[in-house]
Amino acid sequence: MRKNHFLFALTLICVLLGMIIGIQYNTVKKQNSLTENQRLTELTATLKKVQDEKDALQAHLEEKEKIIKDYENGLNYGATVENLQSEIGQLRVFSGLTEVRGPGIMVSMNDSSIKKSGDSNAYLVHAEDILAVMNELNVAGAEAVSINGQRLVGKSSVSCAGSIVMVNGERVAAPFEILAVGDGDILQSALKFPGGVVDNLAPWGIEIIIKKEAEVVVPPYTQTVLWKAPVLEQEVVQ
Amino acid sequence: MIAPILGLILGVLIGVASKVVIMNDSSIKKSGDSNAYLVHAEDILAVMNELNVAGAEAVSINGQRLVGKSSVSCAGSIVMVNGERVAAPFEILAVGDGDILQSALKFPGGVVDNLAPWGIEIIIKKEAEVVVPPYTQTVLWKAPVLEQEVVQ
Repeated sequence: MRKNHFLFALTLICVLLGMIIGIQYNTVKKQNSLTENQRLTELTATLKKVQDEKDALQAHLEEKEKIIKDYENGLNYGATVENLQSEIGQLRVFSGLTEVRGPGIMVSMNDSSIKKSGDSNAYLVHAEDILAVMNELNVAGAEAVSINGQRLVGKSSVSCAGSIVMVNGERVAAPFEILAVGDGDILQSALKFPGGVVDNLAPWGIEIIIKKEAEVVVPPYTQTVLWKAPVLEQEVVQ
Repeated sequence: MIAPILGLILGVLIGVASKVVIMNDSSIKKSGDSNAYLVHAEDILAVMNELNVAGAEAVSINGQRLVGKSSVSCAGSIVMVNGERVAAPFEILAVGDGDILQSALKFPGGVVDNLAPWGIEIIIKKEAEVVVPPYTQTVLWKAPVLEQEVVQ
């Protein structure tokens, strides 16, 4: 009787163990195929993106070849002037001298409203935070970025000046409104990823609002640049 | 008037009094987080921003020119600038008033001061002439441009 009881328990354990192993095996198998599928869709998306980029570059190349042909023909002054004008237009956009409109995001940053003891500096928006946000937007492929009306160009700088922040040599103060033209979803996730800029500022109560907009208007660079360095070559690469 | 300015923004610049900054990972072998002894994307961004604050006319890092669309990001053991891989030692070139640029980097509590405890090797040299290369990436614009207002 006692031996039977023991056998019964052993059988039960074996059956349970078998079921568990079976379920485990099937789950692992399913998961593997799931990740494989994900990889595949990811790769397909990448392929499509690269193909689109290739098409765009091909079009770009054809356009440039046509321009070279126009120059070689020499006689067609109208076309040459037109080409130069369109080139100047492109360079203006590139150097931030034009207004840029398009879909994008608006990031609003404000000092913390939390009243806590300790260093009050920690609860303010600093120049480095703004620099980090703008850099992250550029990393995510923003086509134009501005902060409180100051367009981000190659010579742009962000520095601390007491209670305010200097951008492009102009005073800007909180609340900071950063506008970026580009793919709204990509820009948004670039800022929000764990360990990213927004995440790092959250503990200090810095108020960051990120809004996706159908159209943002990024203003042009308005400062006057007094160049001192001599230019040796005026090679246009774009 | 516009064309030479645009040329300046895109073209090769040669400065009269300029600056070379060389940054390299720390050679100190210490226990603890080895990340602290490396040059990070944020450090490079800080140096380039500080040079612009001091009025640099053109800045480049390892051949990548700093423009409006430039970005610096971390990509594992290397750094991506303008979407191109760059690695230590980082050589930052800036055209501008050498003395101002130098003191902008070296002031107490400034970027160089902050990196010193970690042994990051920073060499700042004033040069009679530096050549800052142009931006060479192709930009594929997607945003529509409505107005082409010239402000300059």
